[in-house]
Amino acid sequence: MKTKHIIINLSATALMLGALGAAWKLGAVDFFDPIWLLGLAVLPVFTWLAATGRAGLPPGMNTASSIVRNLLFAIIVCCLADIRIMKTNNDVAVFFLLDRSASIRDRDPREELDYINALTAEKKPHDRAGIIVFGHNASVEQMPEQNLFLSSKLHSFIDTDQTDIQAAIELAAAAMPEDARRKIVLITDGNETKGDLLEGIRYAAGHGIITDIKTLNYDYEKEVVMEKIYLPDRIKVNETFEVKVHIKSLANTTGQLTILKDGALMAEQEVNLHKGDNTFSQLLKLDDPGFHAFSARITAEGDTISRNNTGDGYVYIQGESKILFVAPGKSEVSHLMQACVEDNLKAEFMPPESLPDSLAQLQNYDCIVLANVPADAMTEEQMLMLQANVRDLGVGLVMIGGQDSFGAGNYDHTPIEDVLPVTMDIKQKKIIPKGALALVLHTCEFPRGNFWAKEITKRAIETVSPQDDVGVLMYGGREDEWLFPLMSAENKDVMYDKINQAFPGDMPSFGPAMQSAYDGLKVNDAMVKHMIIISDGDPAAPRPQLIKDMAAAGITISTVGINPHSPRDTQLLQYIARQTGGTYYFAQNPAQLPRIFIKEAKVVKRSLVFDKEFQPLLALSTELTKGIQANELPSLQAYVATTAKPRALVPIVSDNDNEDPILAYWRYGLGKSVAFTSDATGNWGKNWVTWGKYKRIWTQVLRWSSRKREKSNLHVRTEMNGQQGKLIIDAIDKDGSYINFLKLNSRLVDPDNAGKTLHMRQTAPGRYESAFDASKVGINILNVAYANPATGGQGFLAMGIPVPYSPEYRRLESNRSLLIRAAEVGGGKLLQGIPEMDRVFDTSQQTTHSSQPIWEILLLVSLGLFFTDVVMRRVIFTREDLRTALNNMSLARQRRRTGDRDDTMDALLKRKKKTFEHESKEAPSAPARFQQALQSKAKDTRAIPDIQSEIGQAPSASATPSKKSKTTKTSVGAAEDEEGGYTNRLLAAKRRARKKTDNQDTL
Amino acid sequence: MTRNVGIALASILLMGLTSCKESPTTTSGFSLVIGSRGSTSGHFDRPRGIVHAPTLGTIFVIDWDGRIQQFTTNGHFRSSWIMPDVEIGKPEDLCMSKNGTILVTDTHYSRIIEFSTDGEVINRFGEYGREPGQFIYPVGISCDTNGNIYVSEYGESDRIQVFTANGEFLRSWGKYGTAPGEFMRPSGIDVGPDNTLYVADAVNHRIQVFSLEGDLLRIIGQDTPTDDKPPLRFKYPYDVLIKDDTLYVLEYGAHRVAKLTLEGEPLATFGTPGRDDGQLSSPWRFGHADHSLFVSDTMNYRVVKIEF
Repeated sequence: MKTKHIIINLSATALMLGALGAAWKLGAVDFFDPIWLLGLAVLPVFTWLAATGRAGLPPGMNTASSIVRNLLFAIIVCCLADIRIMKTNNDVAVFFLLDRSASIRDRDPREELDYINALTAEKKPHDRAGIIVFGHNASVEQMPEQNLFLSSKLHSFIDTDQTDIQAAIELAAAAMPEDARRKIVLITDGNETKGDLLEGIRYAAGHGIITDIKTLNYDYEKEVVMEKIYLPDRIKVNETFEVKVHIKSLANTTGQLTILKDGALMAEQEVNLHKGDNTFSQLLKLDDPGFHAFSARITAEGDTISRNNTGDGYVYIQGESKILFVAPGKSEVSHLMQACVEDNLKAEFMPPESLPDSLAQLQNYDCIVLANVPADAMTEEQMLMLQANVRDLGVGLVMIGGQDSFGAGNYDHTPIEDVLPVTMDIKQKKIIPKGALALVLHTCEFPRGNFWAKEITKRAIETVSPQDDVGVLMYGGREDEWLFPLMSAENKDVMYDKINQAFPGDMPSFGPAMQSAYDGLKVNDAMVKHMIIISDGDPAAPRPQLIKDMAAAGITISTVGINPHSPRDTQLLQYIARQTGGTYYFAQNPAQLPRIFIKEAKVVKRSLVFDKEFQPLLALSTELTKGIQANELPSLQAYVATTAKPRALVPIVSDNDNEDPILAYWRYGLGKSVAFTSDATGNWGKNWVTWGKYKRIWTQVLRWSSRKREKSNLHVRTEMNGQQGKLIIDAIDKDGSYINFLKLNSRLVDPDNAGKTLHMRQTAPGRYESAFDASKVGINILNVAYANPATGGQGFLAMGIPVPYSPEYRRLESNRSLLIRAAEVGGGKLLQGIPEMDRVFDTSQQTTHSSQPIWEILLLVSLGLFFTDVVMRRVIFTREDLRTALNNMSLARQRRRTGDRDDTMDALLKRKKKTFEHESKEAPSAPARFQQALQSKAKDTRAIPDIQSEIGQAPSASATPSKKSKTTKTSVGAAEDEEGGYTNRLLAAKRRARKKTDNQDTL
Repeated sequence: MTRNVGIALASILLMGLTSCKESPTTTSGFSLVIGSRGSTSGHFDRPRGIVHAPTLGTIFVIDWDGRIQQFTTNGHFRSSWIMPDVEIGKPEDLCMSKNGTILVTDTHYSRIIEFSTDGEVINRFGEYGREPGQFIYPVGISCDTNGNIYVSEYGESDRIQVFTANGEFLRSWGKYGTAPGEFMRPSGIDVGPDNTLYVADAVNHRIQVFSLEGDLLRIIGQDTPTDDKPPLRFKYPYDVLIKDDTLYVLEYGAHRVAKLTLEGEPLATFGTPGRDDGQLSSPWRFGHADHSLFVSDTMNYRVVKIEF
């Protein structure tokens, strides 16, 4: 019996697995995680267990149940293996990739869009088309959809200064739908400046995507390109040198060549340009040391692209060390500059607004002093520039205190704070009056407005001290328009999370937001209460009384107008600021906003100035305080509280319990920085400027921090090949011998002021080389720090490597050969530009498949099987049941045929009537029935033995008429006593039944 | 006994499965959703004004890109064009003239532009200014049965101006303020039966009803609560619409559509704030076609059709 069960079951299982395997082999289904299929190996074990433990089921039912269970298990395994139905795709999906890089110039996209529209007009209804626009980056203009109709305008924002076709193809491949025959139509000039087109095409082909290519052609007749300006890297004062200019021309023409030095005209000449390469040179002589920027510009008849007509270069003339003093007024540094002059140090003054934007222009100075310069006097780029100047180029930075310096000048979390040996965060024990700041955001109406809203809000929060309170209001927030009400800025991350999740809406009126802000600020215990509103100015005005109330409560409101629809829109914002003592700003573009918000947030920031005369203490004798005795430091009138960084040296501290740093210094990257938290004027340092050692201590500070200029035996030059540069250093000693195994520290600072270390490799005796990337447009500064074997000191060599314009402007014709090759690799074709011929939606030769997950359906099926299995095991159908059911059905059919049904019904009705008449005669009245019931109850105990006896004689429970079952239940206890218990009798009955069915099976 | 328990458990499992399948369905709301976020045809960057062109069986929708797109009432894209100028701002509202042309409030250019249904400019009138016939931010527009054009504007001159079909100034009324008959940012307007004009007085959170000559008839949304009636309050009503003796108010701030009698008795509301079916986010304008309302669900970047 077992054997038969196992054979049937195994056969069914094998059949099932065979069918599954065949479907897999034929590609009808696939498994995306097939390792789970190993689980099917336990199916034989299930079969064995089912055969050995039948749980009282009839053998046939047991086998069927076992098969169902195996099927159920197999389905679950298939679900785990991620079974999918594979289907052949008939629809076509085409992604159009449209090149909009600068090499296309300002070409109107309408022609290409019309071409795309004409191509898509040919597609079948279910085919899909999408478009990606690319340059340096790629952006999906529209995902593939059945309806694609492009107007004359593209909406994607891309950087056009480079062409990265590979990235665009990879984006298309990733975004392409799977359930279609897939194709890319690349519309480009083929002039890539980044990535590898062929690599991208291969990637797409590997994903079953064909690439067709339409070449964007452009031809120029008289274009002139400034290829390069050649200058010596380093010259001496009054040394004659040659400026050589390389110009490429597409035709014979005439032009004017201009050479500028530091923006001033140096030479100008009429030139005849021949078709091809042209070289011109000019001899010059310079007498002022430092870095000098040279620019050559060509203007020629017939030239249309001006962006590629300029070449830049730098010349460095070795000179004396120079210190740059940056301060709002010269009086801030007059004593210091006088000390420098007396000590033969060259010093220059510059107001903060004149601070250069270019790192190259800073290379004339070996130390930069910021005296009472607030952080918002500089752009973030300028701060990054100063940071790179110290870190990568070895220039010193000294910050001197004042009302607008250090923390009071808002340098928290700035690149400058990173450079300095002190942090602006003060210790917890210090008591600082609290400020409260409410920000009202209405920014959704200018491009990326909500992005900027979040950025500037976070920047403002970043600016305030942890003790201050901040709240943000916007339309679309809570009922009272608070995104979050005024709360301590101690946990700024919570605020940032809320801001990141915010979605500011278009504010109809300023009233509700300002009212909520007023309600919140009015009850706040802050010393300074300030509010900033940013808007385009078109919400309805608040009540005039509200503005008066806010002014009366000491709440200042600064307003920032941006992107107003008309000048009139700013009037309301100006009015609000004027009435409350705030400031009105008009932001020309969003990039100005962070600076404005930092400056305004600073209003609530408590002054960190400790303005009480104190005695500075000499805590440490170092090279900066050499010759200064502990008891001879004069008193100072005030200082800005800061905290020394762990690695900083702090020679002078305050005399109060906090021992705040007054003079601190450390090394930062290749350079050094110093913090003096009091000032160097007759204001806070009135006793210092008259002190006999004032000059000594300050010249020691300035000399220590300045970049050292060592006489160098290094010959440094660079070679540029496209966007790749090579730094070559030849090291030769004074005897002409090569210097080997030099330790050189080279840093490249790109136009974004990001520094990068170049690893110098010795390639020959005395020669060291390193490659670097110079793809960003702007000035790259290369700095080589070296140890001078003669003096033991560290010297620096710096040079500028300009990239005047994007390589996009260097190409004057499309790269057709590359595109032909790309079409071959991509399995596509070169399109003619004629929609009727190109027919990009015809992909009949391409066959692709897509998969559809079916595990959810299978899980439902498995649940149904589970239910079936439960029914099969718990509801037992024997052959007799089946036979009885069939007999009944047969009898019913026979009665219907013979019309016996009516006779039977008549007989039943007659019998019912007779019984009713009989009972009616014998039935007692209702009171009599009640009386009989009472008597019957009284006789129950006597009746029990008889009923028990009746049960005991019954062969099975089913033989007992149901009418008696109520009475049966009352007699169970006695019956167990009599015949070994009810359970035993049921088991005996079950054994008999099982024996009987076994005999039948054997027969 | 065991068999019964087994069957019951299986039944519970099946019932559980059935309920799991059905539980995610939320309040049924929209009968159609048109478009999604995008800048190509059939997509929107924050849709604003909507108008139904009964003769074409289509609707026209303005969005934040300054595009006017035409859809069938079944949501199929038909055509689109862009406003002549969009640099300093985008239009807000549009309506069908008596002649079957489309009138657009070119809000930030202080003018009204009349287009053919193919997007061809037929006429334009208005310029920046405070004088009669001039505009500072015209926002809402509607036409009466005689073809006269009604324009609401805000900015410095919160008022209603009336023009002939050719754009000749007829009359105006209203000024900035909160008193009856005054406006704070009047937005959507609609001509009702019996020569009345309904004005969504957005920042005053009320609807003002005028005769077409400018006489104030009644104010809806600022009633005093009584014991048996809660106060009727709108939150930034941006548009009004009269259909079959029923007033519909679109509440930008409450993200819903309110249904009232023409006298202002509330009947029902539709919509809750959100992004799902039956939910709206800062809706701007609506239009009607046959028995349906089309709502520009602005911050959800879609137009939705509701039967309400």
